[in-house]
Amino acid sequence: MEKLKYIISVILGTTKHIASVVFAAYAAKGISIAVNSLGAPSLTVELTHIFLIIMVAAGVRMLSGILEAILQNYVSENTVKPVTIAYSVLASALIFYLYPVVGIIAAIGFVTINGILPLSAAMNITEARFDYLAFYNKLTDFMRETARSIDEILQYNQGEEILEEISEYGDAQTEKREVILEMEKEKQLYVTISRTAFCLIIAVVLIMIFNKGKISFDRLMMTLVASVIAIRESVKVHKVDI
Amino acid sequence: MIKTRLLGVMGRQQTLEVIQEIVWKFLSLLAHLVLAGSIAMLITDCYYQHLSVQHGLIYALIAVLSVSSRLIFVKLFFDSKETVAEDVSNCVRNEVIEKILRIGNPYIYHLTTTHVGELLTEDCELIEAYYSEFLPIVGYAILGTGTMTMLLFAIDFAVATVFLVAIVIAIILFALVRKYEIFSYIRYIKAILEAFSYGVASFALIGDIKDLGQSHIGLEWSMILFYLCIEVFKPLIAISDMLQDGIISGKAVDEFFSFFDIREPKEGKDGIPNEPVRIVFDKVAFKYESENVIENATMIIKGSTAVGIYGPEGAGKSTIAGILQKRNRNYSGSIKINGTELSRISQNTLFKTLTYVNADSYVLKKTIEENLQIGNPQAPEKRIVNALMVVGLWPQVKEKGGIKMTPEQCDFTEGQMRRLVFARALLKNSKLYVFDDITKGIDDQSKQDILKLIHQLSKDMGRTILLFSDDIGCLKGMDGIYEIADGVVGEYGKTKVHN
Repeated sequence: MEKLKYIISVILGTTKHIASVVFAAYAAKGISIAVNSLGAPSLTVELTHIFLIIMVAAGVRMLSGILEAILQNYVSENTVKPVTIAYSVLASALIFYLYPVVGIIAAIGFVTINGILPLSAAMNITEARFDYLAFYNKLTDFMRETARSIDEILQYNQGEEILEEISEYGDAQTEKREVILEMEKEKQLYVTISRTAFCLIIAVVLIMIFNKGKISFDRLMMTLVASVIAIRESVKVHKVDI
Repeated sequence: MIKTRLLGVMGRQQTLEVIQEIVWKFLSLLAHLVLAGSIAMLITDCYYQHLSVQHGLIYALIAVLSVSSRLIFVKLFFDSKETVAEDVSNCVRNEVIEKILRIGNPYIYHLTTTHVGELLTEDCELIEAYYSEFLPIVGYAILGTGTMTMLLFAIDFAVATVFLVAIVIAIILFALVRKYEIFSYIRYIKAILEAFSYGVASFALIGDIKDLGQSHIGLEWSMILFYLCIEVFKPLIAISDMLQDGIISGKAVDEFFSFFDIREPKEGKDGIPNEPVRIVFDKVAFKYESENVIENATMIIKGSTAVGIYGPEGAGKSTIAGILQKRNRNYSGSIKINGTELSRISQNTLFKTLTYVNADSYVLKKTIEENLQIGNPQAPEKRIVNALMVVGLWPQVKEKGGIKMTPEQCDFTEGQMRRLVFARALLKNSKLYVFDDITKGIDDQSKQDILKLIHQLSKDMGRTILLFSDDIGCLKGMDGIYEIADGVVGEYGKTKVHN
């Protein structure tokens, strides 16, 4: 039963993000069709279909998000990894279907943002975190010891000495934490760079192809918006966005 | 939700750092919006075939500028976060210790040592998280959501109004979660917010596409509207991710302030004349929570004498010891130390003259040398060894590796720990020693050694001694013995217990 809940939770998590990409892709298609049919007296059948798809995608996005939130109360295991893998594969396939070259670029983007960057950051940061934890335990011991010896501090006039020691511990804590924050900062910068770089590469490639007349405007819009939103959602899966 | 008082305590510089954190995060969002807007305009130019080399270069320049500025803002955001976290921890810990020093011994009536430990560790971390993470997120959410909503208003009034209502509902839900502490509902609020953004975005889009088809809106604006619709809740979702931690850390901030608000006692300014200490208790009474604990204590303790105070457990011995070390301050009657009223002597001045040792006196988990240096930080190694010889601990300490060892490494028994505390008190070399049940719960050998030392301290070194005990046998050989019974103090053998 637990496993079934876990699998359903992974499916809902993946569906939520994929629905966002489908929603965005068809919203872009709707915009491009609308701009193509400027001055048209009424809605075309195609636009009506697109409205329907947009509504369904938004509905699926809303429902899967709420159901996932409810189900997570009953699932103890973390679903981030399987959702990331499933989402990356499905989103790449979807973009590949829209335009193969962009699908390949997006797949490289997913591997970079969801695989290479978190793994390399985790490798570097683990040691620093252990180091900080060891220091933090030492600091906690010192602070608790200080608290237990308050009567002695008062009686033997040790206030200034204790404040000095606390300040030394504080400085050492800052130094240790700086190492971790530096790594987190680097991770954020790399994620921001990769995310923006992949979005820009996809935009430039698509615009170049469009200018050569090898792709229609609605396909350009769908592929571009789907890719940008897919990369945005991918960052959300990892919660590394700032 | 925002503890503005904390900003005041942390000072102007630290407040500026928090504001900087918010500003960098907000500017990073703006850079992102500029990039999204320029891509929308680039696509529009492509569609209408207006994309010239000059336009292309301008878009490229905007893209480069917004990406590089975003990177710079991310870096600056982390730099500010680092500084804020560092400042908060140091500030909170210093404030806690300085406050305890100002309150002095009566701190025990307001908080336990466990509570002090929590303030210095977990609470300190929570306050740091509140200040360096939660406050900036709240600030960013206000600025970010406000800016994107205003942009939405500029593009589509109806859509913006719907979002504004949703934002107000979200804020009310956050407030309810905070009030009733229903943390499990936070994930639902987050899911509802995300769902709502897609729901409204879909309706906004359909209207937008219709408007676009009828030329009521430009292509670039319809794309920007679409982007804003799915991004507008992003800052609020960031709050929901941190709301539970924010509420818990907010409580730590409240704890800190309730401690910070404890009234500090007024300290006297009189000194104690430098001569053997004599104490006169004249009709001293003390009430604890309206119950008379000491009703009438009259005692004269002459200089350089050892006086015992006997009484069963709970008779009020520790209350008198507490009055003497200024823990129990609201006594009535008079207590004069070398002619100066106790209430007119500051605690710091008093502790230069008085050393208090009881069965709970704490031995730190440090080396024997560090433990003894608390008594006298300037004491050279030779004096420390001497003190250990006096209390009979040196042979064992020497055998176990010397004074750089910890009491634990020297396998000290409870009685030996008590002797170590005694050695620390000796190194302080004060004129008055108050021993409260110091021989309680230790082996006979240690008990005899300590009592012998107490007598020597008075006879050979001219110190004034007050020894409180519920064992009359421990008080043999004292220069005088008082007895406490039913809160009344009299000379031993003359109280109503013996009549």
